[in-house]
Amino acid sequence: MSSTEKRLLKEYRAVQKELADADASIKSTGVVALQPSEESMFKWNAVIKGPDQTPFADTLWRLEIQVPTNYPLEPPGIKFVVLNDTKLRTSKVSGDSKICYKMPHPNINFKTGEICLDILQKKWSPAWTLQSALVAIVVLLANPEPLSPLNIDMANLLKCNDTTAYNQLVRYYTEKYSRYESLDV
Amino acid sequence: MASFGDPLDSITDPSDWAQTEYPNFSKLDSLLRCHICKDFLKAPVLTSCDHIFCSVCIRRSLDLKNKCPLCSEETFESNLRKVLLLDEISTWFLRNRPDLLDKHKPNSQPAPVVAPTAPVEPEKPKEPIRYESRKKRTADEALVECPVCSTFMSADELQTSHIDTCLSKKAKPAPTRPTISNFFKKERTPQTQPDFVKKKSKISNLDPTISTSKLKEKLNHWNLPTTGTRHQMNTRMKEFINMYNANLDSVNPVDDRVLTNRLLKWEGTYSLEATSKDDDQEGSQWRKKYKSEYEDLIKQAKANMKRITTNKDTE
Repeated sequence: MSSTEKRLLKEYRAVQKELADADASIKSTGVVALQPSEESMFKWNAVIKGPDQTPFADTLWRLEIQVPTNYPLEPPGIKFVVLNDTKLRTSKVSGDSKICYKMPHPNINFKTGEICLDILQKKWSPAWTLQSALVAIVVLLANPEPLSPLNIDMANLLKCNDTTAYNQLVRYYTEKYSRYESLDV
Repeated sequence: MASFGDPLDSITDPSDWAQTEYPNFSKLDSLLRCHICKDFLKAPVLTSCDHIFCSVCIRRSLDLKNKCPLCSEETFESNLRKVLLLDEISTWFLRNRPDLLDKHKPNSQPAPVVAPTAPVEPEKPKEPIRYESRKKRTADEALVECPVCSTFMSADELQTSHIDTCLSKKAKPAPTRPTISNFFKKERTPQTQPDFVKKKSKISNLDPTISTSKLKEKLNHWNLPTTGTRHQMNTRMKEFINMYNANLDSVNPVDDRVLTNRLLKWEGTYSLEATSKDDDQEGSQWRKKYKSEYEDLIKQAKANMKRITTNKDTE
């Protein structure tokens, strides 16, 4: 077992323990699910919840995590799962979790779901974990940084202080591109 | 969800104490862990910003950038200082942890979480496998475990005679019979390393501009394989330097040959080959893809050259 795999197993155990008390954990961190994919220990799937008192509240998003072979020295690659309209409507799912497949946010690429966050790039530290990186992403949702945008339209709304339009646009996307499904798909 | 079954059982976590009569132990458990590997501190070192990590972990991290993972203050490898007392504490805790967990288990219900007898493959002798043999010996702190065959003996015996026979695979069972010389040998005082370490000094960091022949010389000097690409040799040498220097920070250091063995194992799991192959492939694909464009550019450049020279001639 390589040191990377060992560390991933440790993280997996820690997360399992924490998510056992799901309600408290989600409330404090916003991380709803985090687990390795079936095919590889180096690919993880996660679900986060939009922070309260923001237009993202009460909605869930899926994220894909790609762990590099020399993790934790190198940061994990994390991005939002984005589906286009047809894909979103054609596949039939059911469940009671409202999951959104678009992320309108100044620092997140609308088409690819890429995230512009310093701690996922230059400011990464091996003391961080996958979970703490996700918590940072939840915090980013509540604290957008319009000065280094990946989504210029959303950034411009904030630069013009038009929070009403910003909130409305986020609400529009979270309503239009959400569907109800079960979490463990 | 992937099922990890056995390997997951061997993973320890501070939350293991939650089910015991003494859940506060989880604090101590998490304090004794390295922030990089999240495992118990091995040969801990102190940075100039007063943070502590496993020696090998922080050395690997500083290879990439000279910043403390906890406070991101500038930190250099040369400033790392070993903390032998903490190494002893951490080793003690790791050894006695299964026992402690066992003793503080509530009597009414058997805790299903702790499975120290989990079967582990022989090539990775981690905590669970050692636990069985160590448990009997916990009183005898002076004994160390042979990293090759896992038998216990005094550090001096291991270094002077046993390791040679063990590594050359003579398959001779270690003489565990106490000898008179063993009886009179005084025990090592706490917080000191065995004498053979004091004679050694750290290997200085690899110069990235080192020539390939010099690099091979260096690898040869440490009895490391000189196979593979330049990138592979570079990574191998770097990792060996990290392992070697970290070993000198340990209160129970091992022989260089054990390090070599570990390095080769590490290389197996790290799959150096796979990554470097990818690089090569990408390069050749790139060259193929843009072959015609390259040729055009070369033609243009040649034509330009000609024009310039003919212009000069006519002038």
